[in-house]
Amino acid sequence: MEDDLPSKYEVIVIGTGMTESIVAAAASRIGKRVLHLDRNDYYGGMWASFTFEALQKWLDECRNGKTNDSVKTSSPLVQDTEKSITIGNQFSTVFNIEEKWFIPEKLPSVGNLLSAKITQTEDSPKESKDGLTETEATLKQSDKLWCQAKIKTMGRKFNLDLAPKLLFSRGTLVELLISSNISRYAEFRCVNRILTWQSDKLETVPCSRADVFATKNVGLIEKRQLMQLLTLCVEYKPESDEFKGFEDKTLKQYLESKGLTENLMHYVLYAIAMSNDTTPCMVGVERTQRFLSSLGRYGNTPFLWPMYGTGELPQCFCRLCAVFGGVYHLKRAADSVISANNECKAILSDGSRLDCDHLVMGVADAPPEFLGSVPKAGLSRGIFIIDRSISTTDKESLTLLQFPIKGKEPITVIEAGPSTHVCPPGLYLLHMTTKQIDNAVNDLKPAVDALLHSEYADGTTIRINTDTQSTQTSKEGDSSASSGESNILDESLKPQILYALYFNCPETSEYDLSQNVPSNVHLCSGPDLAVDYEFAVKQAKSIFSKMYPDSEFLPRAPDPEELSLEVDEAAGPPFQSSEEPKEE
Amino acid sequence: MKNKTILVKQNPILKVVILGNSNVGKSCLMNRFVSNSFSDHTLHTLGVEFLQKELNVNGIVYTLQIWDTAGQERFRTLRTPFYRGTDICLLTFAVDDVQSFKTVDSWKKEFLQYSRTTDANFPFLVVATKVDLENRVVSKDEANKWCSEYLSAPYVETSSKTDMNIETAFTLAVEIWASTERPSELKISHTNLVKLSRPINGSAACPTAEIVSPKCC
Repeated sequence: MEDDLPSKYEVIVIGTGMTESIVAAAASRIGKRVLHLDRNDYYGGMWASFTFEALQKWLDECRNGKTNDSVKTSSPLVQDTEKSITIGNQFSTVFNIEEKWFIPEKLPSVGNLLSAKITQTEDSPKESKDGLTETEATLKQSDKLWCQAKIKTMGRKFNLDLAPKLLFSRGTLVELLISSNISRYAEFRCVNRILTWQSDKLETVPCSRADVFATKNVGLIEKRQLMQLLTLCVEYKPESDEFKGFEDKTLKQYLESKGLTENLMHYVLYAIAMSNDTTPCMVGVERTQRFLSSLGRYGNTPFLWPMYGTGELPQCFCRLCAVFGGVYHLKRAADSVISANNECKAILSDGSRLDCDHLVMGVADAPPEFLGSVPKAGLSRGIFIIDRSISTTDKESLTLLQFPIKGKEPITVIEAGPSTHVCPPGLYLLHMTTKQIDNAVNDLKPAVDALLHSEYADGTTIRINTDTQSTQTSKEGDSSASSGESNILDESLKPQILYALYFNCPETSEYDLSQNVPSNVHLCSGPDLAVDYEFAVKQAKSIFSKMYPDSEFLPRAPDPEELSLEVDEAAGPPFQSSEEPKEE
Repeated sequence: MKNKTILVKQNPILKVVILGNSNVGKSCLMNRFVSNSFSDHTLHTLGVEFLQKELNVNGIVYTLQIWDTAGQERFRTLRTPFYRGTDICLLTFAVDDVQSFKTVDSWKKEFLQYSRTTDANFPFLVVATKVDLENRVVSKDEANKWCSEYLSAPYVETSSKTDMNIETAFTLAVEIWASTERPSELKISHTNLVKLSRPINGSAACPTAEIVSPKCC
């Protein structure tokens, strides 16, 4: 350690998950002295994104790190009237880890093919009709053959999310990123395709008005019905009569009352309202409104996806916190919480006592005492590296699919490709998330069986080439909105799973986290089931307002130009008057 | 290239990060360059992300954005939000601090790891600070040799206190940047990105309008 930390803070934050990081930024922004610790050498905790190698390391820690290093119970740093409570262990919360390769360790032939290519392309550059030399064609073929070693050498090009989520274009996180000026740290891509699974095939859901008119899956009368319904939902106000009588019924019952065809019902219920058979009508209407109001702000679907994966987002808030004076220390664990009279006084970390007025911590780090009973709800997660998109089109897509499961929560499927820098060229990442019922393998099985080819590929034969497939689709001459529709999932067209990882982790969004904690300790949930960040932002706001009820939550950070104007004022009046931020 | 038509006559903006151990004088270097001032006790100014300065190099006026580490270098907690989109990286060490010299290499590695640059020729410049000091322990020859042989990065000696070579160092950095060929892959991957701070276009800003008026039905 270079030198030690100051010992007094207004807020100490343990763990760099999403909620913790937002709270840290908000406290620092209003001038509080903030110390932000994380025991890992990366940001994000259960919200992190990993390279392939880092994911392996994380898995090792989850498998082996279940024992807590015991901390000395008595310490000269703890006074007689105080008690010391040992911090929890985040790795002990990940269960049912199943990791599986579907490809051989090595492909000896690939090396030969590659060297053949290098020597030959030098003498005989491009020729032949389709612009490919024979060796290049061979290479292209061999590019589609995968082995474990090949994935591992490209391991740094992966950003594998523990908690993949999307941002509603008009959701609270996007508004917060903009209003606080944190957006400058992040870049996004639009989710450009929403699929649904109906009658054993994938279909593109028309969401914007243009999509509705372009789609071939919906007849003319249905189009009108759909537009009318969506308009009703958008314009819905509490005083209107439209939904009278459906307050205690399900959205499905309402849709049935409107005489929607089964096709349309499916689109609206599962894809647009992101609901299921049992979702109450008004909840469904609210979700439909949220979906529709986010359309068209940045793209043709309501969703954004962060470049380099979701692990970027907590870091953006941490950076803001640091810019406003927050102290960051990764790879530094808190060992215990010192409390007296139901109030947290300090934490012990690495032999030092660090005093604080408020302690904010991720639920994974919380001492078991703070949780009362063990949270029972959980998430089933699956991460799949696959060799092509689940529904190939001529352009790379970023896809959301809510895979319906009868009588249960749907499986949320997010597919991202190389243009979002989450995987190397030629591959796709498929994330699945659902509510834990049994274990991740069994809970996700319906979607895996339906969408993916999960036989072992020995690496000697090439399954139908993605290029051929895309030519077939584009031959139909469709626009991106409608191509790839009615793509019956022939087993030979399904993506091959190269690598699969399953695990379960707790879901604490429904859990009362303030029950068993000292009054100035604030626990933050881990990733929740929802596809968006609404919960994390809401929780962060509520924690902040408990700590500082009279302060503004993440007011806009001034742009550097504005500050340098203030600094330069002595040198002469600025050439152009611009809005000066009112700083306290 | 859409950007070119929109940004009429705007200077090229280059993002510069200054890396190096705590107390090697990164902030002094930045403050001397940007506001031509020097203080023995510069503190991180709260809320300052970066400082800007225009610099004329070979007839082209560049706007340099020099990013402040905001103390995050102390425990090595800088990650992508800081590094993203960096054009030039200055690696600094103080000539009176041998440890800071030894860690220059690890800062370079850290930059390459977290900036996620795919550019093998990324422009680095090694900047020695505090050369006005008497108790120098890293010699010019030693540093020069090591930079060219091991880091393959140019080397320049500066003093923020005496204003020696400060502008020279930044000018040199821009020249290195200008002479570096950048892989075209980088440009491609930056298309179709959504920057929330800059909504894509005005008309898309009213989202519901699209769905609310089904006049063609």
